[in-house]
Amino acid sequence: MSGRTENFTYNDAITRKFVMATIFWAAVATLIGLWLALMLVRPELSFGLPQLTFGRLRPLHTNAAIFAFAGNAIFAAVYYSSQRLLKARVFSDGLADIHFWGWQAIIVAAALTLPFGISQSKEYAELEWPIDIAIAVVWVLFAVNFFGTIAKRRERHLYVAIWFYIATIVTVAILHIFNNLVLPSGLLKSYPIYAGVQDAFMQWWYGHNAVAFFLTTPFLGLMYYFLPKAANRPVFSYKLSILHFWSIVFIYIWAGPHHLHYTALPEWASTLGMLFSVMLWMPSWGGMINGLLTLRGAWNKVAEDPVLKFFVVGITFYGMATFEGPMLSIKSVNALSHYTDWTIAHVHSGALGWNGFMAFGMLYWLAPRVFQTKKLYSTKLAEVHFWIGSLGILFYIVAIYAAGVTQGLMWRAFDETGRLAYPDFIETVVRIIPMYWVRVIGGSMYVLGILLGAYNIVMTWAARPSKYEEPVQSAPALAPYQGEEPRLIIPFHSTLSPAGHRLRYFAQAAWHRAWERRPLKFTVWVTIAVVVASLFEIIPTFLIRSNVPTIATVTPYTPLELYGRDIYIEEGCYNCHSQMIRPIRAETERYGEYSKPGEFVYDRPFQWGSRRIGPDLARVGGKYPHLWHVRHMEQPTSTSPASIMPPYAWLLEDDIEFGVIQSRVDTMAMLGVPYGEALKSAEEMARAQAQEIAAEIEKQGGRAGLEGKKIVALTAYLQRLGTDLKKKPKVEPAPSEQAPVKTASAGGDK
Amino acid sequence: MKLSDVMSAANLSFYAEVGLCLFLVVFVTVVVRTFRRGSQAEFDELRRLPLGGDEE
Repeated sequence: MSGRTENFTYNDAITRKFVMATIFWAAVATLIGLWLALMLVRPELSFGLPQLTFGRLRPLHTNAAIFAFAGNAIFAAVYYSSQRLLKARVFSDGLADIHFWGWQAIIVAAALTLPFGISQSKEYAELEWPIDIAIAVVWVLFAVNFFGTIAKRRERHLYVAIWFYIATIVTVAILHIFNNLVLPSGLLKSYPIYAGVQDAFMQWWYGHNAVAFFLTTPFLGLMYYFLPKAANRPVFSYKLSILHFWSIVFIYIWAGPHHLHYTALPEWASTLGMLFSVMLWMPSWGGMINGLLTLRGAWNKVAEDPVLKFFVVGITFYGMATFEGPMLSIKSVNALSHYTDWTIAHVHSGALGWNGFMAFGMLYWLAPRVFQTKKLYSTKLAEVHFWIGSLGILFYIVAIYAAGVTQGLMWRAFDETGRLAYPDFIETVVRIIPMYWVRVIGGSMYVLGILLGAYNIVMTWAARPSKYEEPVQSAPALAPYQGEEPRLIIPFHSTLSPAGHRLRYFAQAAWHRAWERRPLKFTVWVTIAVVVASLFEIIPTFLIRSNVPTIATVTPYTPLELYGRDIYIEEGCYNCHSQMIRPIRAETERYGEYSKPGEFVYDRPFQWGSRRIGPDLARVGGKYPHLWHVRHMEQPTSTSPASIMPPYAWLLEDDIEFGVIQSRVDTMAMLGVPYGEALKSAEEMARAQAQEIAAEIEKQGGRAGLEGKKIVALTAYLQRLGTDLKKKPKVEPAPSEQAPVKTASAGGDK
Repeated sequence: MKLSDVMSAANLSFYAEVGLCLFLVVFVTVVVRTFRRGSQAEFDELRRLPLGGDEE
């Protein structure tokens, strides 16, 4: 029995706004990416400006690609498809507009802070705390609007795309909040509540699941709606789509630690991450096959329709990326790939192929509909975009896969005498520069495709009617459910035990069918699954001490070193340098003793990095004299002629803000760092250490008068890195738990 | 005594494996339910949902 028929309209104005924002930010994000690719072969393109260095611009590129380009695409998809799947106008037009403008304001805030070094330095979570709060608020408003629309729906059953959107909304909220728990030390500066190993664990729990629930689930929702629409045929297998959904909720959430193989993370955690990653192989491919088989009998349409072409290639890249991801999570493969461009190629096959092409396919399908022009301005231009974009991706990824494997093999190569074949890191950089040029060519093609796409969308918009129509829809109101409700019945006289009845009821899983009609229950269970999986994984790392053994000689950074560390964070050094030596012979030979969990207990945030465009810095302290660092930062080619690092000459000119040091030390102390004397005299201590270092620089033949300059603080930090293990413990050792680690055995794999 | 002392003494690291098993069981149940005989008719209707709605 259905209710009375109701008339309603859809709000497509909000979709139009997000469509325009998507193509605009796609162009911005990829243009910044192209500029970065060029800077890796021509570092002088930073023009000596701090705002244009690779370290500061790379976070802007990743944030723009993920949150601006992909984010706006997701919102366009959600607003358009959910209204139709739920047969209801969006809950509140006003909230939708606040969502749109709030999100654009956040993107602009990112563009105004990241190039100025205002950064938390956690990958894809670089934005500082005030912007993080704004993100949380706007996200909640989006959630209210979405769940409000579900509440007033006229279609009882929630189609699988809606499930993917629900999982996206709840999980992104959880990830964002927990990874950004920080203690502010000023309006635009903060320190995380987690330190070292735990911070790394939280970050990659976030980073990995951001890929799952921001770049995968909403795009799968998009696929399950827009692909059937464009092909005008139902999805191949609804069963597979259910399986696909639950596999992501139940399995993907566990896989985060595969980003931290061979690091100071406990081994059980990274093995668990690997296991779950490999388990993802099958369901992900099930999803890809489901997408491609939806086109069964409609492949002739693919030849003529650029929308379907984009979808087919996008889904294929989903399959490739979800094959490669589990492969990279296998420890022995990861030992080669990690810190190399292999990861960059993997990420770009996913971002450019899967996210990019799915978004473009959707935009070309949506544009004539939401702008009410009946057809796209130019189908031919869209075809050109498709081909030039596809070739661009191939050029990009093939070159960068080659670069990654080449460099990885060179790092681990030994000569016949048992020594590193390429002991000088720069040798392994120079070798891959030609591949970086090919990336520039591939990237240029992809960007050109986007610019053509932007022109096509704008011209389609230009042909819009003077006033948009709002066609009236009608559907019966949702009446109370009349069907059979699954109930657990245990007959009074039964040969089967009550437990048997319960098991049978569970196995029939009719309860699942009932959930699918009840969005609140469904959302609660998805949330529980995500939270429980996360807690199972996270709690032991945080609360079991044996996971992070304390090292007696590891002490807090001095006030000047702390300030120097903040400069390291501002400049985004982690984008090119790791601070994590893996227990692999090639690494201990090159960089020194492998990193221990206890070395990072005062690292807030951790700076392990994920890519070595330059060498690892975990043990750089004491390796060179102070003057070397001054000259290297002023002009890297003066100490390493083939270096692709940009100059940081302003560090020799900019003054240390001694006034902020005390408050930063106080904030760290509030987080539990035992600062002692520095709590009263951080500034004086910093000035004294700066004098000492500056005097030594002068003695070594360097410039005089650097004691008030930032370079001195950065030098103090760099010279401290990795030196704690070499210190002798105090004569009177603290209780047994603070016993020093056995450094002799630690280097035993040399 | 701190919470971390209690947790360390409780030897909980195997909980991750327990979690793995629990999640697998629930996941397999969903798979069995989805692919059981007789569910096709129910899903046929559902998979057509996107094709309805408005047509401009």
